[in-house]
Amino acid sequence: MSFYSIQILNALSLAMLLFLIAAGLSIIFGLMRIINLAHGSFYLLGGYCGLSVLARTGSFWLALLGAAAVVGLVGIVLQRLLLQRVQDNELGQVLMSFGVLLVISDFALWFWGGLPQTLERPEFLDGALRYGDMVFPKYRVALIACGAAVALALWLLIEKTRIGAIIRAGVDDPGMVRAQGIDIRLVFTLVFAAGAALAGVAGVLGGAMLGIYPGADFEVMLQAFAVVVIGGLGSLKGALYGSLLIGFADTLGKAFIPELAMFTMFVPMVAMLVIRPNGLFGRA
Amino acid sequence: MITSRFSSPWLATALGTAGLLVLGQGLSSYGAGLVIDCLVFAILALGLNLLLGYAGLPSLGHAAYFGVGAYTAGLVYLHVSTNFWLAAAAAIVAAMAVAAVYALLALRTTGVYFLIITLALGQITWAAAFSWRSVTGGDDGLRGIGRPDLGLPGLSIADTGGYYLLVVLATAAALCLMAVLARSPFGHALRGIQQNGPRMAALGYNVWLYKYLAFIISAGFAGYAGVLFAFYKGFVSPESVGIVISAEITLMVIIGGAGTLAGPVLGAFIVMLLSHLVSGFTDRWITWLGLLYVAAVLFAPRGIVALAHDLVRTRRAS
Amino acid sequence: MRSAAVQLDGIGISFGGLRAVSDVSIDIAVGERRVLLGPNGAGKTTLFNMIGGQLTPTHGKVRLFGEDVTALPPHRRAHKGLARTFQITSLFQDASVEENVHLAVRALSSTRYGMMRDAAAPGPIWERVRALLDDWRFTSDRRTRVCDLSYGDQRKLELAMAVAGEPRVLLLDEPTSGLSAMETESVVTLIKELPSDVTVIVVEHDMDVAFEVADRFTILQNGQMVLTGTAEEVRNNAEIRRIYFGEGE
Repeated sequence: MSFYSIQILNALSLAMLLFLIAAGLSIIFGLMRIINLAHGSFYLLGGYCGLSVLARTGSFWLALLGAAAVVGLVGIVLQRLLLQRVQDNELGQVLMSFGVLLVISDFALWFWGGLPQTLERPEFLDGALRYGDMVFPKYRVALIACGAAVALALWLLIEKTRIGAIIRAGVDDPGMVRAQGIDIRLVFTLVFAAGAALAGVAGVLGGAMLGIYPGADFEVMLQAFAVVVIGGLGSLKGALYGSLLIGFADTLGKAFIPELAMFTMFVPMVAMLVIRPNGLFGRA
Repeated sequence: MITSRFSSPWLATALGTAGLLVLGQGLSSYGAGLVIDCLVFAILALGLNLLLGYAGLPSLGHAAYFGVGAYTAGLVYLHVSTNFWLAAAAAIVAAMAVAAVYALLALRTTGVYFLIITLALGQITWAAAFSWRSVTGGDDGLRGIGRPDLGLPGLSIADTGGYYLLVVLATAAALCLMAVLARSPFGHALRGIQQNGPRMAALGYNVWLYKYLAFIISAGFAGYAGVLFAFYKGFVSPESVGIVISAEITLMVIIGGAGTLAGPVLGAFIVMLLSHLVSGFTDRWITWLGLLYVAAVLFAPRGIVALAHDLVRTRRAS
Repeated sequence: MRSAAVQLDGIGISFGGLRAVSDVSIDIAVGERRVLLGPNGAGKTTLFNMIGGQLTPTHGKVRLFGEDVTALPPHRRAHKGLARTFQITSLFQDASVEENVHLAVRALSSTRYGMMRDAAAPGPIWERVRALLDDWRFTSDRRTRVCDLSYGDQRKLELAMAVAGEPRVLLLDEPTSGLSAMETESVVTLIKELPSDVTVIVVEHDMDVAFEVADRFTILQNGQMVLTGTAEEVRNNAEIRRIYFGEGE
């Protein structure tokens, strides 16, 4: 029983982490049609920045804030300066963002070194909750709660606010929004920055749970794309369900069929692209 | 659609081959190895160019066929026969077979989805190389691949000099084959399909079939490059199948010029030589490579060959 | 009707919830010149796309010379003798005039998959290309890139490519749109000079052209067929006068 409870908890916490990363990617993709391979770099950079802030200030909250701020800024620069110039050129976006991925990855290697590091959790989240023989590490529970809260907040933002309406309209019909005279470019930059910042925050949260190391950017990027493909572009609901699917597939895969663990992500991705490229809930 | 009107590819290939052979006399073992690397990737890039530059299909998982070719060649050498031609044939067939399956899936998508699915298929291949320890050696890779036997008395590729000759001739052959394809009805049709698929269909071309064939042939070139790679390095690892290689070949095609013959070859040399040069000066050569990606997209999206064409054209006009 | 070149049997298509075309049945005889008329959004181009194969109807059948081609892809219809032009010029812009025609002629040849031969080598294909360019009076440099041609010449090239394969059924989608009076006249002449056994279906907005070219008309409105008839029948029909000429009179 406790084995299963641990697996479910791990799957859920991974899913929530993936959601934080993929939600931004999905909306960005759906709204701006930008394919950004450097999205995983936001995670990496966020985690490392958080590490430095934590080391300097001892505050986990400042680490989260710092990561969000730095990564958000990097996102703005990346979108405005580079990605905007290759708006309708998908291959160009891929190559360019891959280049950025390499640059950030190398920078992180140079600045923070090659050894895997872990962020220190806040003290009150150390240890575990116990019910019978089931063990629930407090941090993972908190991460799940946090993810759910963010999901709710994002849902409220997208469904209930004016900017959310603009985003939804933009995903459904980009031309229309431009025609409305709304300064779509500002919305684009804001959305991109927000998505990046979320990924950065995920980097800190994930860094405290799984550690932060060179190569995490690649792994995260692939996982995030798998989530977005399966859940569907431009859909928050899709990002949530996709994250749950990948979170569980990945965790259970590693637990039960470790030899095939790597395929649990890509095979559903390919299947979805062939059967229903729009994903489960895709709007774009 | 750039049609090379002012140079004969045969002449250029002959000159290039001769040049490289002459160069080879004066190169050290290290230098020869570097040129071999460049040429192997030139063949890879030429193959991708058929898909990307002529058919207009941006595949991000092309290293998969390179890796399949390399692994197959290595496995044939280790377990079946040390004959070069057998290993090469098996490798090319294997690469094309994998492509035949993958293309069935990938061609059901278009645009951005095509990019992603080819990326995913490439990763699946990588995962297979990584996990199938019994066959591929997992992340330790396939080791102990020696130089195969050409089966031609007196000719040996055991030393670098001999292998250099093989690779130069192999590249020349690949270039000639690609030139023939490019000026064939098949090649013309591919270029038409890239420009306007529905129009070509209305005219009577089976667009899907052309794309399918282009996919498979381009994988064949990749497998061919894989053979030369495996026997040169003596070792194949999952890295050869990964996205880093796929991206690098794409960069080579774009920098050199997609849709041209010289472009991919030029691009391969540029990227490889720059990487080598820069890594000799600094540990941060990956940063410079990343910047090269960005610069290529920003400043030379149609590639260097196109820039050269434009220069010639403006000079002629003035 | 076995003598029908093109037969549409109750075809209809819906996009999402919108019924673009519903229950259209038309018989077009071999060698007939049929003009499709109707206001914008009437479904003419959609109908065209269903005959051409670019769209598959959700209801009904399309028959070509008696054969059911409803689900047949466009390239296979070309091999059955169907050719079409497009509303917006869809030529190969970067390629030369002769390269465009070459692609059109090569399309139906068994050599189109050839990988080893030189496509530019002289032979029956290039003779046909030359003949077509002569017939259609492309006197200016045949190596000119299409993007450098005048709009009128581009439309002419489009027509030349459509007849390159000696089709039995020719679909012309607004062949005179955007052309000057002189250019329009030459297009009308070219259409009239087509062999009499070629069935021609034209979508036209220019009423003068329509009446000059047509044997029969089919009028569409809101995706439905309102009337099929000769010029006389159309001119005398009160409802048509209201739909078509009444607006703005």
